[in-house]
Amino acid sequence: MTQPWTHENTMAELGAYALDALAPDERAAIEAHLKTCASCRDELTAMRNTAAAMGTSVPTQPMDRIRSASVKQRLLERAKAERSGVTPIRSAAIPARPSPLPWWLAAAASIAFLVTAYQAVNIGRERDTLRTALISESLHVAGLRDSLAERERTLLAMAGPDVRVVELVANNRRPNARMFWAQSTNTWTMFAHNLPALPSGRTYQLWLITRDNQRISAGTFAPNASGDAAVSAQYPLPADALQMIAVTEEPAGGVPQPTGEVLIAGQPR
Amino acid sequence: MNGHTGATEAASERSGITENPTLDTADSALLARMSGGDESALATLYDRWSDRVHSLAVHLLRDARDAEDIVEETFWQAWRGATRYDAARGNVGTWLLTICRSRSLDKLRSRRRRPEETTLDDAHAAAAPQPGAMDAMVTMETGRIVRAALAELPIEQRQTLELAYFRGLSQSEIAEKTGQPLGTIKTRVRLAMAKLRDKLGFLQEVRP
Repeated sequence: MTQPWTHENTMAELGAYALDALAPDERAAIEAHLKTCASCRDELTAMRNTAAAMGTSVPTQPMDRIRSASVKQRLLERAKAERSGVTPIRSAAIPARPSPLPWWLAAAASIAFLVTAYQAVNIGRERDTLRTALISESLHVAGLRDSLAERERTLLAMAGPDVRVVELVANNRRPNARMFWAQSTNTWTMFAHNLPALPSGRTYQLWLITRDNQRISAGTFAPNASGDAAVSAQYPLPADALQMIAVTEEPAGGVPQPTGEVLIAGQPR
Repeated sequence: MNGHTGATEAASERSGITENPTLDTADSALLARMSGGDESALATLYDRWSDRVHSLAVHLLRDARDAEDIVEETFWQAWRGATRYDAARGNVGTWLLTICRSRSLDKLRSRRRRPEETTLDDAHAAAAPQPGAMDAMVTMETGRIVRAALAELPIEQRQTLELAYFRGLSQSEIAEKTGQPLGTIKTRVRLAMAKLRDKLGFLQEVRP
């Protein structure tokens, strides 16, 4: 039977465990410890979420809608068939892949192709090869950066008319935030950065300010140690009713109407 | 919500604001319905997550056809494993992306054993209109935040993480192939993952 690792050894390797980067014997020793340690199980959940966040760092590449619908239909047929005990035909006809690629995606694709072609020939042979591959990966990332900036501009342009974007800024100070407002679902999601740490007993509070000067609280929040925070809320508001979004510092627990100085604010585009 | 308190909830109630219910609670409810054999819940989960699963699969495999297979297999595994899903072990998005990465790396490893040609045509699927603009916006913003956090890591830590996550290499394999001592690689992974956890934990508040 595998001897469990100590708590300290396990905690040190939970990140690698979440990445599935451990040797089988190390994995087994950690799993033996996890059975008896709730705090390590909690830490593993945080590490799994962290590893999965890396998966969201990749460029968004939606599947072609027609092909995606075919995959979905096939899945649903498989699910139905499984219930009724019938074996479905695995390969439903999928229409040919459409083209061409937009120029910015094509640029990213050509870089990816160069890296992939290089890897297909060389990966896994020797150290020098891997070092070169690392350089290629960095070039790949650098190349993607420009196309990602372009893609973001494209996505922002595509967001309307349902999603409106509000940039919140401060006067001569670093804090800033970006709010997304989906009018069809009344959903508000804000990402804030570079927020000063809060004094004890204080909170940040988010306000939706309407054209007729109503100040509606959209909740309170506190930043993490890096000054980042994310807030999500639902509130129905007519499309043309929003005048401004603002963040103030308030007593812990929040207040019905703003009392503190405005830290950041912005108007819908 | 970050820093939410009972008093705040009372204030929110007065103002008519509710926390966004379309986050992980909604995904967990879909999994519960899938456990009961409700195929429409699988369809909804697919609509919410297939683009993100596909994005990761394409990035890992650089092949549109393989990525499509991985998308199908990921959701099939979710359907078959819905009864075993344990929310305490991570949210639904984490679970789906973990399945996708695992299946993709299996394919990548088998490809390394038997190198195949990859064509430019297969390298990326074409861009298409987003099914949910808000999901797309939030995904874009979180992706930008995660990339910024990765870029802040010392380069050797970032590259070590990328080899582990995107190439599926173990710490021993990374040590062997980079010529660094295993202890150094383990330290890099430990420090980098701890930094990312601290830096990115707040995103759990608004999981897309």
